[in-house]
Amino acid sequence: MRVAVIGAGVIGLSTALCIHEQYHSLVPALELEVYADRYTPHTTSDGAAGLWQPYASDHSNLQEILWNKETFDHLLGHLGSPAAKEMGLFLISGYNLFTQPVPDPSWKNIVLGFRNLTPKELELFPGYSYGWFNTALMLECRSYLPWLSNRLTQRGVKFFQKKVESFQEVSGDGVDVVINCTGLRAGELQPDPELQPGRGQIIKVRAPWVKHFVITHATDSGVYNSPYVIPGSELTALGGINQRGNWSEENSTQDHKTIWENCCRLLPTLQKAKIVEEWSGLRPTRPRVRLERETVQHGHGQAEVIHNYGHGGFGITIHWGCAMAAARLLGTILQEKKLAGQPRPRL
Amino acid sequence: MAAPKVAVIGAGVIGLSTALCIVETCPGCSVTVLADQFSPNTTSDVAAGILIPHTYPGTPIHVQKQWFKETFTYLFAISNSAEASEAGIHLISGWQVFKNTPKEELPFWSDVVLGFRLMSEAELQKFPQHRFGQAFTTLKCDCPPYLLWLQKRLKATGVQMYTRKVADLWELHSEYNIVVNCAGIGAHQLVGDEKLFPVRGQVLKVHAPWVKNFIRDGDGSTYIYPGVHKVTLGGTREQESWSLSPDPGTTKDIFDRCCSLEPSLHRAQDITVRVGLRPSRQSVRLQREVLSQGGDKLSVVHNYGHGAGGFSMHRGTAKEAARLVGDCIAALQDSSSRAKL
Repeated sequence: MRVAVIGAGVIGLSTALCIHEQYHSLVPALELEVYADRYTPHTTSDGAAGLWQPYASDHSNLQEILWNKETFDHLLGHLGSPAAKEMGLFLISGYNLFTQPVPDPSWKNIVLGFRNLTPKELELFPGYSYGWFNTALMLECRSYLPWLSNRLTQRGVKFFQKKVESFQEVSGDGVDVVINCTGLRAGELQPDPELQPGRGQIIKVRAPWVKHFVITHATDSGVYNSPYVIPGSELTALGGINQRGNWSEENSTQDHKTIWENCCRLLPTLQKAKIVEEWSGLRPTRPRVRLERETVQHGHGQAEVIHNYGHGGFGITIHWGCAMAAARLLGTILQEKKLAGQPRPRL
Repeated sequence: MAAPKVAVIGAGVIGLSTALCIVETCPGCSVTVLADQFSPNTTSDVAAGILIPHTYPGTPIHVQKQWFKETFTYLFAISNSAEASEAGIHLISGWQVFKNTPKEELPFWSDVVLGFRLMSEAELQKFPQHRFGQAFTTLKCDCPPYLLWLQKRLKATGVQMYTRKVADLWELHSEYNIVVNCAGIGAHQLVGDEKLFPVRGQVLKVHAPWVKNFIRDGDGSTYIYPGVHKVTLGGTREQESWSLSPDPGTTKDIFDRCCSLEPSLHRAQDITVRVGLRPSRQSVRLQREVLSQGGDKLSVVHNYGHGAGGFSMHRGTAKEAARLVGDCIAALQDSSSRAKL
């Protein structure tokens, strides 16, 4: 039974690990392979700050809410383990700021210690009249992806550096199931008009005195188009850009100015911070995550595909719940193949 | 009377902040700081500098609360300004956890720090040996940066600072009108205060930049305070020990206790060990005194004995000391003008 995962960002690698953990002892001949043209540190996931936080105003369905919770609880369980630092996993507290009162988010009971901000705390943030405080998790992909890769390598999973041009290319080669974790470029394997880039830009600074995340929300700007500051284990990410339909991965001087001025206005202490890096990435934005099976017809037959892409700006937040769901879909396929009896003829 | 000449003894957080308050409230004064140790070799440099008050049994609670509030307000303003990083002042959130529910559920300072509330069940699960906890956001003053920043501000106003070991307050009587005694644990020898005693504290300063929240055991014995560059792990409270040498057994014990509160600390690097002697007393000695020998007098203001609460109370007690210096000046001018009659 050959299973190929396409994509080596947080979605691809975690899905691969989840699948191997669940099925390697149940399916003795399971061969798991990962195909990707970009590996860490060059994936979209590597550029993300890594904060676990779903969107503030939930258009997500109940399923996505549950996947978020599954991810948080899974990570929380790893916090006390010796692997936490290697995974890039740690607790962090911080602020969400609004210009007017808003309903509590669906995730208020998932994170730790959720509460509204007091008037004295709001004095820190002129221009914002309402907000939340809570403790959440950071999962830095520059550590997490290598950690996942190591776990997979230890388990005998094979990695291939390759740009896959079609499902047929992989399934025609004898792969039984393809797991499509190609993020924004899923459209190249199968057109998907709902999948659009949400371009982001981030300035990374050295500001080790900043211990809290600060995320602002503006009702008219849309998600991630309002300044935010997210401290990592070494550098602090400043952002606030989300441009729908912009495919450019080049840093923009205008966006740099916007981010810098807005974040320094938000946190005046940042004025003295030294700029170390700048990065642009494309969030694989979709109205909802595409997580489903599909039997894709092609010239020489058909391919069993499990899609797991379109996680927008909340890939890290939702990844484990999606990986588990994808693994369940694989389980269904495995059941069907068992019921069908005969192994597929190999030409 | 010509510009009053004020000597401040001590260059820890108390001496420097008191000197600054005097300059702010008595612009006509000439202020000089004299100390045998400057940063990074003061007791203050060893301390984490977190604003969580220590309660003095001998001082009324409303006075302590006033001191803490003044200190917190002062630092809060700086923490959100462009000066914050240079001054080493930053906000920090975290938890104070208790194995046994404390007698006092709400400490006197709970409405001064930010967002004080009881920890939820989910938060307490991270601390399986503890049954009760408080969550809040407070401030931290990192040293040396904070002391160096105070020194920089003092120098900008013309205050001179000299390394000098003052053996006796009276030796200053010919050069200065007023002496402000911020000698900390040094006051034991300097003015022979038997009520002042050291409480030895050993700490580890480690590199663990992923630790963003403080954790403190409510019994005060174990704490994890992340600073700008290093995390302070503590600690000990050894009464009447004067030893400034780190003890290796203690180092291991502190590390183990902190790792049991925060397991990721096992991966901490660059561990350095320091020892400080908390200048402890039933109450802070904050009072005026006039020394006289023969016909000569020397006005003295004492501001020492802050024990474990130096950073938490520094600005409040410095302002009070500056007020007392003002009283000394008024008294001197009064007797000086009477002498002219």
